[in-house]
Amino acid sequence: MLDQWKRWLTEKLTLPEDVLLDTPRLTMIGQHQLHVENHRGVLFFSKETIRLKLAEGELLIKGEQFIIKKIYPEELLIEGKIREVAYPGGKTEGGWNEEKTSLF
Amino acid sequence: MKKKRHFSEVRIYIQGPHIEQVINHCLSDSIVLHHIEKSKNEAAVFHASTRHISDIESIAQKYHCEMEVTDPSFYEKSFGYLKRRWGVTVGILLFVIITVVLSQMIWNIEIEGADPPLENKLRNHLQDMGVKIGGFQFLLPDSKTIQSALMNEIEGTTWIGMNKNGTTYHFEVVEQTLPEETETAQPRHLVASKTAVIHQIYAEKGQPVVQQNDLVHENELLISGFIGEGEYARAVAATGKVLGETWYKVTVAVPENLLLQTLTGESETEYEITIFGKDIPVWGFGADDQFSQSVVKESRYRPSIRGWQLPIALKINEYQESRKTKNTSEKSTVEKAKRAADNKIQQSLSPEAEILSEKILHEDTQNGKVKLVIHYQVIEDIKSETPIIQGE
Repeated sequence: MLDQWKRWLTEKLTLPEDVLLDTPRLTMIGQHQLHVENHRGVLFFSKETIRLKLAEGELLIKGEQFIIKKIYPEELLIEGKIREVAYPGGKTEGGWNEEKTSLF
Repeated sequence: MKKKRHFSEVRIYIQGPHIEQVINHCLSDSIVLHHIEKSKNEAAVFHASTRHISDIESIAQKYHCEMEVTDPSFYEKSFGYLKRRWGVTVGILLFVIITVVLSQMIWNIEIEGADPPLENKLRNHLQDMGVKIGGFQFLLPDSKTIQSALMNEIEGTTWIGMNKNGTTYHFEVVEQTLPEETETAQPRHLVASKTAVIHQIYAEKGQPVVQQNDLVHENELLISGFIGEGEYARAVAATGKVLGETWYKVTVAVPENLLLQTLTGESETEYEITIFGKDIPVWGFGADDQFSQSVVKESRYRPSIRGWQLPIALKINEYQESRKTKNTSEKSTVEKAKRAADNKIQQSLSPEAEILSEKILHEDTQNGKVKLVIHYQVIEDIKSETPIIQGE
């Protein structure tokens, strides 16, 4: 209920979604730096792959020579050569979308 | 990649099956980790703050991970060293403290422009104020206060300027100068001090009684102190300038054959140690036999401890080869004699005197000596003072 309310509010007030919703905000600088906000922890970490837990689902980052430069409870900075960033599992997580709001 | 660490961070190596969970646990405990790098499949290296080490350790144990601090923090490294070498630490601290303290002291006080009694007075005043050698600068009032206090307290000064130059205080004093009371000279005459022909005469005060080209003898009146006539006559202190032409005859005798000793530049050095008055050569044996003619330069080094003379001394004899040469040219002998005569006359004249001309009257060579008689014509000051004794 609260979640739906938040979505409605975000839409009506045209707020950035990551402010109220627990959606991640990714800032990528070129190919070598990725700043992730609103994550929920590290699921897997190796030099080639990083899987981050999100509020809903997960985030998969693939590349080379990954280093987690900084990690705080809500954000982290990855350095390395990033090849792909993906939301695996086929879900449409990571933000609100038309389908869900149409329920409202 | 260069790994920059905060100075209080340590590098931790962790090995185990659930490293991700350890990281997550650290996050929920709000322990910030930096620079996490997976080295092998089940091992990682990261940087963390020193104060979190024990927390991380307990978390790692919970997930059956092994943890090891591989590199202590910069802080620990440097301070660990300082703790182990506490002597060095204390030394460095003492050095810094002493340097700071010494730089805050007054090392020198310079007073410029004051005559000795005033300077002494000023120094005493400064001493009372705390401005003394060895005093601390930060205990003193600022320079303006000192300056005005000094100017108020010390009489006889127009202005005292003070400036601080490092550890030196520099005072500049301008003394009050009262116009000097000119000594009212007693009435006097100017008379000739020697026989001369007047070359120039100028009376500033008084009545000139001789003229240019007049021949005057010793004690003859040049400028009279009596001026005025009849009712207005009075005696004054005669001043003026009287230049007279005088004559001198100088006789010099110079040996014709001058033996000159010159050094060839070759030298040998002999070292001797003197113990209880006995000389023991230690180096450069036979240096004295090296040359047929030589000049010995002897130097002694006598070490002493707090004024107590050690019985041991080092003696260095330097033998310099010399050669005797004869100077026989007659012309140069005459030149030399002339120069000697010039010197002789210059010594007997006052520095203002001017030699007008010189003339060789007689030249004679006898018994290997050159004898020269030279006549000098000199312009010099010939005035001297005689007081006027005023009687009835």
